[in-house]
Amino acid sequence: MSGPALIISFFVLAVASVASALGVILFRNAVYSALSLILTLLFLAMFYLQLGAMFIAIVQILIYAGAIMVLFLFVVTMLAADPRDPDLQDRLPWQRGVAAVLGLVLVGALSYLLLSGTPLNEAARAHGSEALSQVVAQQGNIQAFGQALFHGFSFAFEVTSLVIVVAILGALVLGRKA
Amino acid sequence: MPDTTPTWLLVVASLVKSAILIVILLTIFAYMTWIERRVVARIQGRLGPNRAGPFGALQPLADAIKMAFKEQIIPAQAYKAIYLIAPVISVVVALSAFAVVPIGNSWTPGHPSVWDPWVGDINVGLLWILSISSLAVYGIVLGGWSSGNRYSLLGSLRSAAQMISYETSLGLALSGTLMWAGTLSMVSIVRQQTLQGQGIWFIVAQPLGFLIYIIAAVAEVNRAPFDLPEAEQELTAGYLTEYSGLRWSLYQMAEYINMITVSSVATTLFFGGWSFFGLERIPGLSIVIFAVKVAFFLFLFIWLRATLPRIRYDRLMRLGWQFLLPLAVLNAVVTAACVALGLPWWVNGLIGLAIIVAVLAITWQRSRQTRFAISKTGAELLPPSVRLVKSIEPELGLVNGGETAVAGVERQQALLQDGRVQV
Repeated sequence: MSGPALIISFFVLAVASVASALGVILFRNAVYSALSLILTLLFLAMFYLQLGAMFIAIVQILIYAGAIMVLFLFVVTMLAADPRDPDLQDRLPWQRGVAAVLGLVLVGALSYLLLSGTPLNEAARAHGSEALSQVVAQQGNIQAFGQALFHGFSFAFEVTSLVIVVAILGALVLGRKA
Repeated sequence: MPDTTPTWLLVVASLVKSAILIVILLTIFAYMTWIERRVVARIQGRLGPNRAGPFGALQPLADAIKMAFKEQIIPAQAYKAIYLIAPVISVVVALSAFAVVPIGNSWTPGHPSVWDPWVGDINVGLLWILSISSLAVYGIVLGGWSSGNRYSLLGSLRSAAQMISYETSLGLALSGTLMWAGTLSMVSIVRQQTLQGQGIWFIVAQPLGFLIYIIAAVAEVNRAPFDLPEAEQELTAGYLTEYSGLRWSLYQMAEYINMITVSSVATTLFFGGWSFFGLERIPGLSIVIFAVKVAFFLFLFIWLRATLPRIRYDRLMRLGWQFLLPLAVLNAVVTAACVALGLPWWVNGLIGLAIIVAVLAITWQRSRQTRFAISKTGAELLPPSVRLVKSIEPELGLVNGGETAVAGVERQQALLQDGRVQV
């Protein structure tokens, strides 16, 4: 995909994903918020698809929309209070202000980086995006990804799996105490 | 697909092929309901639907008309929008998962065209099926939650837990085949199993993987004996409780289409897809070969439903996490070692068979304690849950005044084994 088609599809996706992301924080019903989050994640997968990263897009759906959000929804449908209950009130009113400030900081930082443009150019120079796209064209999407994961970044990969094991053990220990 | 194909032709071809595929899937769904009722009736010694048309073959049509004209009740306590859209999510997800399944050889082998009998051959085909079918649980969870009914909610939560538990084993079981195939594209996986590829169906290299896959697949599509979400004794009809009319049949449709999808994946990954010892070179025949293989698995689903009683919920979870998942990990490790060491396929197959035999032997040995209660004399009694007496101890064993206690016990045990004594 290239040219005007790319631009148009980007803007459609951008508006849709921002709208669904707003839904996450604006819905009063926790289940609707969770559904909006799922929708946002699906739109994010479409962004990856648009960039030609088929593998990342599919894995995004598989892990976030398919596994993690199911667990979210599982808990929310079971435990969330009925939003039609008139006694329901916000017990943490102060968090809105803090969230707004932190959100502004994030947006500011990201736009500064984007507009100044330095990190992007440096990343492209450091990793050689040209060479990378050649590898992808030669070996295919997943093969290139697997090569990078298990040869270039194998140490980081192993450390990550260790961190996850520690997290699982931690959850087990905490769960057993209670 | 050749790069010279114009985009509009690709879009048109995909749309036409999708439309044809949806029509085929819906027809199979309609006739699966009829075939299932006939087969189950036959196994249970009944007749089944036999009034509408020859052999009752018009029954699906009659059912469709009935469903279409039924009132669709929306409960007052329901979340209306979600309640209405949940069955649609189920069906859409079930249909889109099928998009990457190749149902036949390309029309002109060696010359790919846009009209080949699959909607899309993407290089992450299998992951596509896994990720889309992992979304299937939303249709059920949302339907159950939005009904505003405790039975529905509990049924849907059970289903969510079940699907998440078995998805892990399912994916791991497939990974063994992927290691042999070396590709995720469904078309290439089939090509690997033809005579031009490795020349074997991957079932011979992955017997253990296949067994785990088929068990996990039955659980994943919520079919008997794993149809806990609709366990009517405990949960009325589970997430389906409040649904009626067309939306109820949409859920049924999703269930049957999912059945077809997991059968197709089993066929493609373990039984060579549309290949059959060179016969697949005739393109029309390859579709027939594929259909026959899938039909076998669909029959297996019906057969299982008619044969096995429903498993208890805690046992279902234990089976998934403590039995299937460790086995799937073991299979993945063994397969990875075989592939990495460059061993031939039959080594992997023999190791898999050995593990299956060992597991069966251990299960048989250990299940003696649940099938029988071992008495002090070493005799096998029926377990307390099955026999209708509280306990048989030697001092209780005097059934006839003249006999000694020991003889009485043995006699009573013999009677208990027959099932004749109901104290």
